[in-house]
Amino acid sequence: MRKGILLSLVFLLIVSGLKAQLVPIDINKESEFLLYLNGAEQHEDFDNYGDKLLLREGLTAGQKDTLSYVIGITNFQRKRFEKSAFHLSAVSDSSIFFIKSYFYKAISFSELKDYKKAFGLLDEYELSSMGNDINSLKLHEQSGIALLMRDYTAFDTLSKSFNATDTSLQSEHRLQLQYAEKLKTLKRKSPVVAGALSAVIPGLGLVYSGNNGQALSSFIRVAAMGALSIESLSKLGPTHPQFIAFASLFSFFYIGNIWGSALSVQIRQNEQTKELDHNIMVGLHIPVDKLFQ
Amino acid sequence: MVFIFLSTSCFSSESDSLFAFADQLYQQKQYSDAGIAYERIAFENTGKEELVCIALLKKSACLKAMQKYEPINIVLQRCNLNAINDSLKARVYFERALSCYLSNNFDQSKKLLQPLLSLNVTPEQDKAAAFLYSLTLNELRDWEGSKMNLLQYIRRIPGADEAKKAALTSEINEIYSKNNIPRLKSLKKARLLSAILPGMGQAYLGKAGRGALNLSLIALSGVFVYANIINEIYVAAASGVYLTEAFYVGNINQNKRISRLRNDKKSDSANNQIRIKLAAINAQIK
Repeated sequence: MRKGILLSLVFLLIVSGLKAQLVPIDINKESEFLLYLNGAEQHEDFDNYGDKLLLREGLTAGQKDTLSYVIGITNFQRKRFEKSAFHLSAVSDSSIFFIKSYFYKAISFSELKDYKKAFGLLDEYELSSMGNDINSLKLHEQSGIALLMRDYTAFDTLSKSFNATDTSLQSEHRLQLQYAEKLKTLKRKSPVVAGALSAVIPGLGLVYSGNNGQALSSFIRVAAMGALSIESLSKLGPTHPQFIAFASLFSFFYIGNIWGSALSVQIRQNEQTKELDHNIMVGLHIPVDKLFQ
Repeated sequence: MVFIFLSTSCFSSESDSLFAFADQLYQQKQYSDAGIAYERIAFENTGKEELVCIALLKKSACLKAMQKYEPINIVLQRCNLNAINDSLKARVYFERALSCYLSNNFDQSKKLLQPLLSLNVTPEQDKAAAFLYSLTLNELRDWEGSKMNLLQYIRRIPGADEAKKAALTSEINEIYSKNNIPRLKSLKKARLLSAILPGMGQAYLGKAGRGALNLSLIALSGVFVYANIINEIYVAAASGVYLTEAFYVGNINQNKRISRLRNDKKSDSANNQIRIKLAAINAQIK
């Protein structure tokens, strides 16, 4: 009796499993459901369901491409570039989503600061047969990535080949040329000079690095402590605890002002290059978004 | 398995089968998979508002089981309240309020419970809402409002005799008696006291040591100013005045943190006691 029940159960399991495998998956509906989960901000469900769908047996290559594209693009929109790079890389070149995935995965790798990989991915395919604007977009993306790598030779070469007819792409590329000029002419300031200037006149090193507001407050702090120390020295003498306390504080502020000025040069330069890099990245996103909207 | 089931189109139009499947996952404590299954029901039945709402309520039960309270409010916001009956609407409001209460968002919990009072709800829903509303008001330190709410509820309990109601009223009055409600210290008063005499506000809040430290620091900086004026060291005296002013203002502002910590501790302790007693009363009401 027990054996009979067990056999029936096994039979039912096999039949239901086979039935599930045989019923074709409606990829459009599954994609809609994934987008529904994303729209409802059920991101954890989106991730779980998407990953499991991709692992489902019996998917055709086209279905896998569609799912990878939907999951990749959604993650891209959520700024989860590691996941978007992974899934968009899985979209094969026979898919109708390939060109879009091709550009978005390159941007994803750029966002992950893997510029070499992003540049190499764009180099993998020849797009000149797909029209002037697609090819120019590729050149624009590659030149932007070259700029992010500070490879000015590659940037100049790619920019010379750029000949888009699309006006918005042209204007984006003009901006890229401006950023390149700014990056090339960005003055390399010396932390040693900034420190030395602040040693002579407190705060002057901060003026040199471009932090005028901080320079004034630094000067006032050091000058006030200096005045306190001089006054205590003249009225109470060099051995009085009040003079020793104020002189110690003065020394602390004075050395801090020199150290801070030297550091500020590096910080300021980092801020400027970071801002330019951000603008270049925005310039990589906008034309791709416009083209594939 | 859930993914094969959900993505198999032969079942997708039958919401009963999907509900049964999702419920089974829930009973098997596979809350994450059950949650996706309920989402699928909501997706498949877009436009059938009551069905969508029931599916989302069940999804919120999965989240509750996983102790993920904050997302419940987001999930249930998708229920179209204009297209469902009062009983379902009350469940949605209650679950959203409960999720806010459990994620310490008491203001939002109070806002969500207020519309429930005007709805035609079942006695069970009325009881649950009344108790949750009182617990929320307790957390918002409105103990008087909490007590009044419970007394009003006791008056409208269906089927309870007058003696039972009188006994419950007496218990509620005892729970919210002066002895059981914490006496919270006023920040305004503490700040005023510290402004009059540095350290006095801290002493009023029960931190006499910290008050004495504040008073000593201000007195010492005052002595420093005085000594420098006597010795005609005016720059140092001016910096001493600046220091004294900073200590004085700091002494007043310090009360904010001390009073918050003290009042939070007292309130939490009292609310924990009240919660236990209210749970006992809740159990008495059928």
